[in-house]
Amino acid sequence: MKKTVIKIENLVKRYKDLIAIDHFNLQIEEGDILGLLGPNGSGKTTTINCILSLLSFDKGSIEVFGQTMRPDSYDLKRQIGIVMQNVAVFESLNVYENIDYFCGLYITDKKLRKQYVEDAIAFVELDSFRKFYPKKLSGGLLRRLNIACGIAHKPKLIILDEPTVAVDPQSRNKILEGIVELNRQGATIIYTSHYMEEVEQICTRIAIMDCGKNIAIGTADELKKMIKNSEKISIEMTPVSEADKKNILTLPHVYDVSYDHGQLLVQCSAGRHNLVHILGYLQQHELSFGRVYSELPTLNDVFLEMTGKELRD
Amino acid sequence: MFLHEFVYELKRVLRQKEELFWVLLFPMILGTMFHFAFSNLSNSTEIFHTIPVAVCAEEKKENQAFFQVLDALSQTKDTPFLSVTRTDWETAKQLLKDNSVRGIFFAEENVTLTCASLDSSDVNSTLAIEQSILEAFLKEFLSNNTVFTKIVSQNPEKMNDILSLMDNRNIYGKQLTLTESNLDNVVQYYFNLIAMACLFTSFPALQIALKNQANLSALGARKSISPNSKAISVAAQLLSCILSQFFCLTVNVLYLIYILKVDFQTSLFMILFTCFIGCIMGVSFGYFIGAIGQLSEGTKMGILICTSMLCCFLSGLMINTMRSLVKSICPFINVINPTVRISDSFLTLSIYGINERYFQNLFALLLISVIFISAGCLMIRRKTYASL
Repeated sequence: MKKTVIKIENLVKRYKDLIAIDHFNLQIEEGDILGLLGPNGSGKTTTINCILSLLSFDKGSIEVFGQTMRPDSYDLKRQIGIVMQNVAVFESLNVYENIDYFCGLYITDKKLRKQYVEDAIAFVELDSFRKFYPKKLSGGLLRRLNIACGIAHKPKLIILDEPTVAVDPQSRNKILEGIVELNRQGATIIYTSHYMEEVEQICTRIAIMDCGKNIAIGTADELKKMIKNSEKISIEMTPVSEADKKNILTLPHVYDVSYDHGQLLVQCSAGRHNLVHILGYLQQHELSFGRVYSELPTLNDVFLEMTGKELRD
Repeated sequence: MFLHEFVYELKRVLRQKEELFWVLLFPMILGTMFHFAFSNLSNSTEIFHTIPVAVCAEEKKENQAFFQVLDALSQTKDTPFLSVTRTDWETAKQLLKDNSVRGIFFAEENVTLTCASLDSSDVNSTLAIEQSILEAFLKEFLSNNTVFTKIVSQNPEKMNDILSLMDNRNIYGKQLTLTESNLDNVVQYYFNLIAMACLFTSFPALQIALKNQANLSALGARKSISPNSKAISVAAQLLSCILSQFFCLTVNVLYLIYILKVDFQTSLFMILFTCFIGCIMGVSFGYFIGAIGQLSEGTKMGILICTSMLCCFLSGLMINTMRSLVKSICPFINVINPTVRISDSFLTLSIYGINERYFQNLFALLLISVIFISAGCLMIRRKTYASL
C-alpha cells in the first residue's frame, strides 16, 4: 500500500474578503506526479505556500509525511525541494556556487554535497555552464538552474510551481523529461501549471482547481470520462440548413450541432462510429464538404464543461 | 551551517560591483577630489608672504625714523616683512594701480598709508589681509614714535629705561594648548568622508534583510523553507557583511593616509577601530531599513540613500559649519546622527586622544546598532506570513 505524502483537509485561506482557498481537500500518494491545474489566480501557488508553511491559513489541516507541517519542522523540510515560480538564485554566484549554496542548506557533509551538486548539474545538463553567472544564461538555462537549486539535495517530495513559464519549447521538453526522471528515481512530485498539455503529458494524477476549490481529481482519462463530451467533429462545408442540423442531432450519441465560420461542429457523447454516421448522413443528402477533423476531449474541455469558462481565460 | 552562510555571504558581497563602488571607490574618488580642492587651502591662508610696498617722500623731508624701521623690516634673512620700493608719488600710484605694491607710505613728517580701494567681494581676500597688516604696522609705528618723541622732549634721562622696557615687552596673555595636536581644519572633511563610507556599508546589509524574508523576495521564500534557523543564518550573514565592509573601509583609510598623505594626528589602529564600530553601525542601519514593512526593494533603497545623505549633510560633509548650526538649532539631531558620532569620534581621537567623549561616542554608536539589529530581527523573525 502506498504511503500518503501530503494530506490536506478542508483548507481555507482568506485575504480579507477574498477566499483564496475554499475548503480544499487533497491527498497525494508516494510516487505520484500530481498536477495542480487551474487558471491564473485559481489558488495553486497559495496552496503550495500553505503546504510549505510559508503562509498562515484560516482553517483546515495539512500533513506532510504523516506529520503536521510547521515553520520549524526542519526534519520535514529537509525532505522537501521547491522550485519557485520566480527564479530564485543569487546573481553574484555562478551556476556551481548557486547549486552548492542551496544544497548546503540541507546537506552538511561536504563530500556528499559535492557529489549531489555534480549530480544536479548533470541532471539539468548545465555542465558546460558551471562557471557562468545567472545574468549570462538564457531564460531556459536559468530555469534549469532554478530547478537544480531546488532538487540538488535529492528530496523525497518535490514541488514545482509553474517551472516552464516563459521557457522555449526545447528547454520546456528538457524540464518535463527531467521531472519524469526525478519521479522515476523515487521522488513524489507536485506540479502546478496552467498549461494543460504539460500536465496531461507528465502527471499520473491531476487535480483541477478553480476559485480555490478542487473541482475534480483523477487521471487524465478519468477526468475526461467525467464529462459528457467524448468526441468533437468539425467539418468544413457550406452553410447548413436548420432542417439538416435537426436531422444530424437525431444521429446516435450526437448531443449538440452548430455552424460557425464555415465549419459544422458536432459534439458527441461516448460511442463508436460517430464520424461514420455523420459522414454517411452528409453523403446521403448530397451535402458537399471539405476537410474533416475529429478531436478527443482535452482537459480544457473538462474545465470548460465543469466551470463554464476556458482554462486559459 | 554558520560557516556555509558566512563564506557565501562574503563571496556575494565582494562580488557586488555596485555596492563595492559606494563603499570602496566612491570615498576614494571623493577623497581624491578633497585632496586637490583643499591641498592649497592651508598654504594660501596660513603661510606669510612678504608684502611689497612703495615709499615716497621729498628729499630732505624724509622721516628718518620711519625709513630706519623700513630698512630693518625689509632686510631680515628669512622672509622679510616688507619689500620696499623707494620712488616718487606718481610712480608709486602706478605701481599700486598695477597691484605691484599693496600700499604706499608717504613718509615725511607725518607718515600716511594709501591703499587701493576694495570691493565687497575682496573683503576676505589676501589683499585685504595684507592691507590690514600694513595699517596695523603703521599704527604701531606712530604710537611708538609719539611715545619716544614725548620722552625725549620731557625726560631725556629716562630714554634708556624706556628702550630696555620696550625690548622686554611683556605679553600678559598666554597661549595654552589643550593637546599636543596640530590638526588641520581640512582633515574634518576627511573624517566626515570616512563617516559617510561607514554609513554606506548599509547598502549590502539592506540586501541581507530582503533576501531573508519570504514576503519580499523569491530568494527569501526559498531560504525560509530550508531546514535552518533564520537567526543563525542572519547572524552569519551580518558578521560576514561587517567584516567585508570593514576590509573596504580599511583600504579607504590606507589610501587616505599613505597615498593622499592625510595626517589624522592619531594612530592607524585607533582610526581602524573606530571604523569597525562605524561599520557595525552602518550594517545594522541597512539591516533595519531592509526589515521595515513590505515595501519594495527600490523604495527601501531610496529611503536608505536619502537618510544616509541627509545624515552626511547634517554632519557637515558638504558645508563645514553645518554641524555647529544643527547644534545651535536642534542639538538632539547631532546626538542621534550616526555620521556625527563617527566623525566626532575621529575628531576627538585626533585632538584629545582616547577620552570620555570618545567612549561616549562609541557607546552611542553601539547602542544605536543594538537597537537597529534588535528591531530588524523582531521584524523578520516571523516564519509564516498572512500574504506573500
